Amino acid sequence: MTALTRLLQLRRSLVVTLATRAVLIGLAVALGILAAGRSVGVPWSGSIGALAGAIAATIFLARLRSAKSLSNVALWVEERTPTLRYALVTVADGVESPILNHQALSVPWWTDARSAQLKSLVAPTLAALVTAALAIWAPVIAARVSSSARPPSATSGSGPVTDVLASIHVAVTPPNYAGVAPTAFDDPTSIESLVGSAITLSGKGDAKLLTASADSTARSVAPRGDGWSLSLTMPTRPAIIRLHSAAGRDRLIVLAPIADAAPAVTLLMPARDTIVRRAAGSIRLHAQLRDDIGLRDATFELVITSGGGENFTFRTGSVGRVRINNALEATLDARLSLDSLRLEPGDILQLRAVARDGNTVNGPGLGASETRALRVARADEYDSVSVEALPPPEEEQQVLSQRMLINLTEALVKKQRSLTRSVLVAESQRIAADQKKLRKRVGDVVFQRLGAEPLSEEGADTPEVGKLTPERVLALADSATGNAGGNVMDVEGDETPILAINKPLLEAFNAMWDAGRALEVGEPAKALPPMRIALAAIQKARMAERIYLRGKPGTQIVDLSKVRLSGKDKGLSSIREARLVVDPVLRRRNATFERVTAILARDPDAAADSLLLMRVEALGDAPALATALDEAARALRKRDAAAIPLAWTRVRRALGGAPVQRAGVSAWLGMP
Amino acid sequence: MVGHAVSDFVFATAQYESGDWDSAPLVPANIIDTIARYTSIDVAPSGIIVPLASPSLFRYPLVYLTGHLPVRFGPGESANLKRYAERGGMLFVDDHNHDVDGTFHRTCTEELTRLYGAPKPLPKTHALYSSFFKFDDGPPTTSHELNGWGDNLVHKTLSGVERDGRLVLLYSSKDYSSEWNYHPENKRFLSVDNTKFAVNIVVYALTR
Repeated sequence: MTALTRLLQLRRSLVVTLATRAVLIGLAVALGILAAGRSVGVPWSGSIGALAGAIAATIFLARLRSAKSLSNVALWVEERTPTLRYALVTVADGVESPILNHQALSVPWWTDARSAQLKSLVAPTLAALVTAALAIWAPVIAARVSSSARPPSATSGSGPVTDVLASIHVAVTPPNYAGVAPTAFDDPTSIESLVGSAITLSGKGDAKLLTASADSTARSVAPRGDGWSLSLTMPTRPAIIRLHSAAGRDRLIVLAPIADAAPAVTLLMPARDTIVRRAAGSIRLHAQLRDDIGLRDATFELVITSGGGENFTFRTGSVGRVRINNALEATLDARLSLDSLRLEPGDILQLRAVARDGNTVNGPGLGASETRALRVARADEYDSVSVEALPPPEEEQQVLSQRMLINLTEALVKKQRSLTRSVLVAESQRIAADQKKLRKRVGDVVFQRLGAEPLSEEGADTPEVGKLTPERVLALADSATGNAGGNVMDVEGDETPILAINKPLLEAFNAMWDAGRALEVGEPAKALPPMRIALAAIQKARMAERIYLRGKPGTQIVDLSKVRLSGKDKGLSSIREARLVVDPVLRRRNATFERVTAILARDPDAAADSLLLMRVEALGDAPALATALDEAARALRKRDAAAIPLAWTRVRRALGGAPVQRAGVSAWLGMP
Repeated sequence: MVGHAVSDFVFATAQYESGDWDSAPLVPANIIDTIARYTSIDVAPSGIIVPLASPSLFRYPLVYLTGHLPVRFGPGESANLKRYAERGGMLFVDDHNHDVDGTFHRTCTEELTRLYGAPKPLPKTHALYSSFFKFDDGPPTTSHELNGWGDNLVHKTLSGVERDGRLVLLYSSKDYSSEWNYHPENKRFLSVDNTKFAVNIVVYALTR
């Protein structure tokens, strides 16, 4: 092989080596830029790296021009092998001579040239490999560096951070009925929107690297473009979203629902409760309605109460229903005809305005006004100004007993076919004896009210009083008070007031007489009708007396010194426990806040997470505290040293309530 | 409150805008008598009437509410009652009608559910039944129930709403308002004092 042939081979291998070196350098540059870009989160770092790599490769490929000249190749060899003494350069110039050829091949320069070529490729190859490794592992390395630079989170441990949680975008679409435009914002600590709003969280990065849960319930994270997205609906109660990246980082976001307030309804007419003698004509009803989102419909609700004492009946209805087209404010008007309600004396008409809003998510919200009452006075209370508080009327006790006697008699009637005549009579007479006692007590009540002596003692041998007429009762009372001539009391009209009240009792007294006679002869079935008449009459008497008047009842003062510890029974005092003064919810929140304060310096991220968890609980009943907690969490996340103490003070104020001013001088002033 | 020592327990009757809040005027005196009869609690000799919408509601740890008619709380009454429960008060509501699903029951439970959540039946083992006297069978039955007055039913349990382990609402359909609505002087005629359960309610409210 001649020297020229070897030189031509070397030129070909040099071209390949230079091209390979240029490609390796370009690749190293491109991968280096990509690795740097990924580690700091620069967008388009791949494209930038490719461009830079191409430029670098092109620059190095330009060196191929020097390899085109065979003389340059020969000079490159002569530089490394000076003993050739330009013999090879001369051959490259085209001089053919056996002596020159021999001299040019006297030293094996091609071996050194090959090793030099290989050495020139080592550095670019290593650079390309290193930068490739950096490009692949840059995010992990960056996360480790970042996590070692910040304190570990209490909720997430000490895992590395991926860029999936680097930036979170939130889009909120309120429910359709609200008619409110969608909103969007970035990196929130909490999301406040109407209940039922559609919430979409999104961010960059692989969706597979992220898991999500809302109040411990797992939620699926979906891929979207080159990032991820999470769709939620705003719940009715405050909740917390926990986003957990594969790198071990947690991000908490509070869902703070804004409840659609129920409509506020104010009843303007009638303006106050009223008592009327006669319910006639019509009254105007007028109410004002307001809602935060929009009203749907409204009406006036009526409840009519009839009766008294223990027996009431009710009628309900509504008037003036109107549909409202989502207006924020409206008025409700109607005219109510009292004649159509057919109110009787003693009846009470209660009315209120009711409005519903257009909430289709968890509504409709129902708002009601105050209730107004219109009462129709009874004739017997026109002159009544007060009712003296008394023990329960005697007739109430009788009506209970009469009801029991009816039950016993009915039971006896049911089983009388299975009884022998003698047993039936005995049972019936036993009830008759009770009926007789009861009749006597009713008679006593009537006579005592009329000022006469009670009837004869039970079981006494005096002749029994039979049926009574009102006139005979008056005559008995008259004789008892020593009056002659029948002027025992002032009588106006056909009936005395006392008779009006006691007439039902007299009716009961007489019906009991009939019932007793039937029971005595063993005919319980025949006794039942008069027994029921007696019960109804007693009920009537009781109703006649029991009048409820609105107003302050008479004050009853108990003589404590007289009755103190006079009870026969003793209770169990040992199981009583001291009552805690502080509100238990407030106490628990204070304790939690003290724990958060304790970890503040050591682990601010965990403290911020704990504040957000407190905020979720406080949103329902302590909005001021919830706001203060949110401010404190934001300040902690931003590591805002100036804002943290102020936010902490606000939280303490919200927890402690208003300062309490105590009378007198405090002990700590050193006073004895 | 005038005339009562600060440490006295004052029995308060709720005055609300709708309904006949004053339908059992003798119950307060009777309960005060019973408290004095069986305990050494410093009790004021007369009760007080407190409007539900008034700030003075918060002076009283136990408030008694009764009536026959429909109950509708106004906005001020609702807000006060809600806050009252949060601040440790106990509301004792007794249906004076002792019927099943009557209008008082329906309207009052509707209002109370809106404020506190639905009342739940109290088990016989509840601390209320052993806070002073022991009631092994749960709430004492009233004579009205036994005698078939009204609905002919014995209401077996009371119901209530608890917060943090203590009752904030005690709801009764047993009509203790009728059972206890008599002058305390007449207690001497009773072989068994039927107001002893009131001691348990008061002691529970003061100690839990």
